[in-house]
Order: sequence, then structure tokens, then C-alpha cells
Amino acid sequence: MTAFRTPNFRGWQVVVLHREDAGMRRLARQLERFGVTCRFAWPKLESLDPAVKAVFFDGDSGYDGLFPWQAGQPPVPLIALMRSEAPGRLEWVLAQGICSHLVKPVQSTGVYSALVLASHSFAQAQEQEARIAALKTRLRLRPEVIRTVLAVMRLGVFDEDKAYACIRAAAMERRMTVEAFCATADDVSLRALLPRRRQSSGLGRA
Amino acid sequence: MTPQSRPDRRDGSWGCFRSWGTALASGEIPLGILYSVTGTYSLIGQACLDGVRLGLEEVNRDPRYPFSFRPEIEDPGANIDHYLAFSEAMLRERGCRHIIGTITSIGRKEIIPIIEKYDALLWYMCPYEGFECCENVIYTGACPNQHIVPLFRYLLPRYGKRVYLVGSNYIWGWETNRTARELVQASGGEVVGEKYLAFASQDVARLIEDIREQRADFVLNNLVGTSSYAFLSAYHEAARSDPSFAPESRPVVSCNLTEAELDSIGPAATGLISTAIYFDSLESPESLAFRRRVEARFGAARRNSVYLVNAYIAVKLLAEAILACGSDESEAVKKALFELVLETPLGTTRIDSATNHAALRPYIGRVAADSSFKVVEATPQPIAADPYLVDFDARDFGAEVNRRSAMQLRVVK
Repeated sequence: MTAFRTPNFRGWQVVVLHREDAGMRRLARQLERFGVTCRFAWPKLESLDPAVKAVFFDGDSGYDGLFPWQAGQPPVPLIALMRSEAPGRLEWVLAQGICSHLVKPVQSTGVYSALVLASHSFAQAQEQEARIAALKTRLRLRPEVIRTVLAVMRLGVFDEDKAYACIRAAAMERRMTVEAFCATADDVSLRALLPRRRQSSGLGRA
Repeated sequence: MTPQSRPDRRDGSWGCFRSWGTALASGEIPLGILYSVTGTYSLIGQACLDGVRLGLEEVNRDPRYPFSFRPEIEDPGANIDHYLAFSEAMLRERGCRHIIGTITSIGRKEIIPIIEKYDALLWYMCPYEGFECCENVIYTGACPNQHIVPLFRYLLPRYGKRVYLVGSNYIWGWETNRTARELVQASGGEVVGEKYLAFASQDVARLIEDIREQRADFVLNNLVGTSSYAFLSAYHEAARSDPSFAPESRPVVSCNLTEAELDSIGPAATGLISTAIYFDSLESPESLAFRRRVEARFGAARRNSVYLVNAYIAVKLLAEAILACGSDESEAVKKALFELVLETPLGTTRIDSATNHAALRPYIGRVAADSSFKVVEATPQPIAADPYLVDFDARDFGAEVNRRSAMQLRVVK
């Protein structure tokens, strides 16, 4: 078992998109205790400084166009500050792609876990998105794999499974996915994969 | 205890006092005291209560204070169901704006919402697992960078890095052990076992057997109360037939075991290593004077401990802050408190306005055959509390431990 590393936000900068009131100053004070500095902005965030690591925003008064990015695709973890529990408000907040929330009035308890949960789920979502993108690319290249299996069979490996195994081994050797290898392979490179004695029989049909 | 510098914020009048209304016209300030003097950790509760009592009596006798404290004492008996009702009664019906109390984190967290609701102050003076910073709590006990971190910095180079973790099944044990695991792993060591007992459980036989098998270098004991006593007694018993259980071979170490409990544990505590921000054996003039006061009030047989002394200091801090600002209103008291610098039996005591926590000087002590702690290491200066371990880096800690281990080896050669 590996220890859960103590989350550390030392040196973080965050933006609080909210009117600056006593509750928000309490939030800022609590954030300072984690080594986080915060900047207030309202009623609009014109641009996001690349140094900013997370954005807290007013979920009660937030509106379309509040953020300088495409709706639902925040570049940093988003944390909603909520008093309202009206389904319409929750729907809007969810559509912004929030990672966690804090109930207003903000107390000292809850700020730390909101930040831990948000940064964790944002990282997790990003990881998942990258994985999905990679899988989509592979899915798009599936026809290339079929084409290559058929080509190898035409070149003389008549067993479908053996043809695939041959391709897979070649892809692994080149540290590529099977799909990426197939997308670049031509008859010349495929012929080099084949066992010597089978090459001649395939050539005639190539 | 003598105030070093105290700005006079009274503007030469006691106008603020008059505005306190009927409850305070007599200069009587109700003070909630919430300690479990019955139940599984009653010895700690009794030490805390005695410390409060001593502080309160001194304040009430001292003409320097134009007010007196009226104690409102309740004993929740270590039963979590009683904390909320008792504190609400103190705040709502008895006019308390300050409660000194709670020992466990469960107890503290149970009453924080009601303390916040009444904008009162909770004076919490026990060591705890950190990761909390409530505006309505003043924390004068040690948090992780003041207990487990210095303890492991001392232990890992000297005793080795195979560590066994035990604890009572609640947040204190879980979180202190998690931090311990992080420290051990950052130093390249190994947690060879981790086991928990239900609150007040004395079912320690399996624990002892597992420790025997795992061959740890030392055992971190985060059990509380009667569970801890049963464990230490069984551990001591095991040493009769198995020398690996001897304290010089595989010591039991702790972040919360103090003199308050040593008499009940008896010889089983000998050799135990603990960290605390105060040991009764400290020789400073303030500490010696305090011990005399404890003896005078509770008799020569009464054991002094960090719980007693820190509860006493909490009352004194509160009294000094009220004296400085002329009000018992929580914001005013906090503001005055953050300006105070007091010489106490702990040394120079300050509360940090950024965290509401005390800067403290951790000591490491080993229990001698006469049931007293012999200090084996003292931090030279008070360390600011870092409740969220913001300025802590596990890798730096590991590197330091390994550097110290290398030095230790050279010393041994």
C-alpha cells in the first residue's frame, strides 16, 4: 500500500469569480492557509492567466458567457459557490463542467476538501479524455488493420490469427499501436515480416 | 505567567464592560468547560479539568482581572451523543461565549457547527491530526508538524524504518498513521503492519501476535485510553518471554501519551518514547513554579502533564485577552489574543493569527523506571503550526532522515 500523498497547494493562484463580500474574504483567508493566493473578478472574467490553477465561481448568479472559454470546457478545475439548490441553477452549474462545489455561506470547513476533490477529479477527467481520444484514433484506424491483415494473408500467411500476430509483433517491436503500424505499412514493409519460405508464394498475387 | 507586552486597548475606561448587559454587570463571565472525566479516556479529561480549575481559581483570585469566570462544567462521559446538547445549553441558556473543551477530534468536530452558529470560541488544547483551521477555534495543542513529524525525524534514523502502526478506530489514529506511512515511505522504509481496535476495545492479543511476526523496528501506538493501557500491558508481558518486545529492542512510541496516564500503566510504560510540547521534568523556572502550584493545589501525588498545563494556559490566555480588549466577544478576544506574548511553562507562547494555532516547542521523551519522562531531544525554538502541512515536503523529510541515518551509523562505528 502506497501512502496517499498529502495534497499540497503551496504557490497556487486561483480566481474567485464572485462579488467580494465577507464570505468570499473568509474563503480567501482559508485559501491563504493552504499557501494559495486568490484574485477576485466579477461580473466577468476577461481572460485566464495561464498561472491560475483553479477557478471558484458564483453558481447562484453565474450566466452564459461568464467564462472566457467554450461552455463546459474549462481549462482548470471549476468549483461552484452555491446557496441555491434550484434544479435550473444546478443544471447551469453542471453544464459548466464543475469538479466540486462549496455551500454558501462559506465556512472554514470544506474549502480544503473542495480543492482536493476538484483538482483530483479534474486530473482524472483529463486523463480519461486523453485515453478516450487515443481509443477514438485507434477505432478510426480499425479498417487499416483489416486491410493489413488481408494484405499479409495475400502475401502468404493464410491463417488470420497468425497474420494478426505477425502484425502485432512488428508493431510492438516498433513501439507503435497495431493501428498506427497498419496505417503506415505497405507491401514492401509487410513482406519483410514474413517467414522466408512463404514470401515467394505471395509475390505472384501481389 | 507574566505578560511580556500587552497593548492597553481599554482607552482608560471600562465602557465595553458596561455594554455586556446584565450577565456581566457583576463582572462574571460564564466559561463552558466540556471534558469527559468519566469514560475510556477519563484520566486525560481529569487532567484537563484540573488545569482549567487551577487557571480559573488563579484568575478569580487575582485583582488584576476586573472580572471573574463562572465555570459551567459538563461531563459528556466520552459519549459522542452528549457533546452537542451540552455545548448548545452552555451557549444558548448559560450565556457562554467561550468553551474550553473536547479531547478527541470527533468531539471537537461535533460541536464546531454550534460554536460557529453562536460565533463563540472553542479553546482546544489537545494534540490532534491537523487539516483543520476553523475561525471559531483556538488550537493550542500540537498538530502534525509539531508531533508526528519531529517524532519520526528522531526515530527513523535511530531505530530503523520498519514500522508497525496501531490505532483506535477513528480519525486521530487513521490520519496520524497515514501521515506516519507517508514519512516512512518517503524515507525508503516500510510499514510492516497497520491494525485498528474499536474504541475502548481491549482485544489486543492478535495485535501482539502480529507484531511478533512482522519484526518491526518500532511500533507507533495511536490507541487511546483503556485500549492503549491494555495494549501496553500485553506488550510488556510479551517481553518476558520474547526479548524482541523489550523497549530497547522494539520500542512503542506515541504522540499523545503523557504523565497523566503513566501511573495507571505502571511499569509497562517504561522505555516508551513519546512526543509532547511539555514534560513535567522540564527544568525551566516557569515549569518548576507551575509544578509547585500543582502540588499546592492537588497534593504532591498529583501528576502534572501537558494536558493539565495546557488547559491552565488556555484559561490564562483567555483571561489576558479579555483583560486586554475589555470584552468577551469572540472577534475582540481573538484580535487581542493574537497580540499577546506570554511566558508560560511551555516557554514563550503566541497564537498565530494566520492559523489560530499556537507556535509550540516539541520535545521527545522516554519514560524512565521512575515513571517520569527523560527528555532525549528538544526543538530549540517554538515551531509555527502548519495544520495543512503546506511547508512540509515528504521528499525533503526523507532526504534528511537518510542523512541523519548515515550520521548515526558513523557515530555507532
